[in-house]
Amino acid sequence: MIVALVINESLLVIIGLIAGFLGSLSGLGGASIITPLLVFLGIEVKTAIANSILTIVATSAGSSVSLLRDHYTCIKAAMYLELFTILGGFIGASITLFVPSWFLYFFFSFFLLVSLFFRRKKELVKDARRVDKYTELLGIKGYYQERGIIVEYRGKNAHIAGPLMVVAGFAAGVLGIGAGAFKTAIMERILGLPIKVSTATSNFIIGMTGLAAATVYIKTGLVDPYIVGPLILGASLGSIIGSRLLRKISDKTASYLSMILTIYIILQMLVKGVQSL
Amino acid sequence: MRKGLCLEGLISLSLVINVILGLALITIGLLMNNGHLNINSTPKSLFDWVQTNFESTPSRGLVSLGVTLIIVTPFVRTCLSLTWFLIKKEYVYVVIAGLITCLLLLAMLGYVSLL
Repeated sequence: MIVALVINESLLVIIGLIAGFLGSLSGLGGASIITPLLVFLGIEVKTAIANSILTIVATSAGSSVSLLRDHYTCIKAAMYLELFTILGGFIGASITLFVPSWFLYFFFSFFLLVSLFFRRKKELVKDARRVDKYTELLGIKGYYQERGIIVEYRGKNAHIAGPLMVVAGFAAGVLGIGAGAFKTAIMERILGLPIKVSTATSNFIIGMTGLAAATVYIKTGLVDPYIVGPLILGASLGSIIGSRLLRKISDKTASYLSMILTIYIILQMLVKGVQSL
Repeated sequence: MRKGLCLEGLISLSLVINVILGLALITIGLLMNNGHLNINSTPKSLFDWVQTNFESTPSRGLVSLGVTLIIVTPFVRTCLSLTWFLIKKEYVYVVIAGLITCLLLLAMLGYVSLL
């Protein structure tokens, strides 16, 4: 079943561009903005979710390139955590098809609220550096270079971080978003990775969760190339522009922008949820 | 720091190639499109989705092929990682990457979902 659209491809490219731009500038990711924007334009929430999950694979791939080259991404941590996040993605995407729309609106708002909380509490991270045998076996460690200094890191608590990633994957699959803030928080607070490594690795994993969920959504017939193609095109360009501008604005401005956008999206989805009851 | 061939470099190269090719195909497909044509279908898999769209119109097929090229990038990089870990004899990650590859392959062939 493909839903007939009243909006054309040019508008979808612009939506993707805005979402990609704001998503990379605010750290929310494109899909968190694409879904509410499509819903705002009158597209049914499940169709919006199904199409926007595919765009996160594109933005994840595009933005991972430079982070990989700079060795910020911990591939071993990513591979281990992807096992769990894929399972969550499959389950989440499958569940979306059976739950009513109002639930998705409220869950979307709730999840963004939780993510907002995680983002605001990043300073509570530090604790003891004891490495357990399981994490040692997985060899989750590495190093990167910052301002000429080599920063070494070593993971811990992999046995807790892994299963928690099922939750992150589930949320991503249900809502068609990357759930990056949640994934970053797990890697930083539980796995004990540095913030830059956590952010880069989360960005890398997002694409994998997106693919897992996308394979489920494609089978529903809700994914239309004429919706998702322009969105990917716009989001890819927007995220490139956004990430370039990000270097020029202060952390405070980016943080405020992120908070304002998140609160606006939460309110919009809550209103939609109430309307669809 | 790390000189020569490394997994990160290989993966980032594969990401760049897939994304550029995918975006090019999407752009060509969209430029070829002369009006919407909605089709009613519930494809059995990702590959069936591309085939159905090609059978509909070439432009639609090109866009879906471009989208598919982009969304399979995680699968491509997992295959690269699997090969890398095999060469390096890191068997824990051979198992992990192998499991992910199998899961993704099954999903792309349409065998994983509650549907």
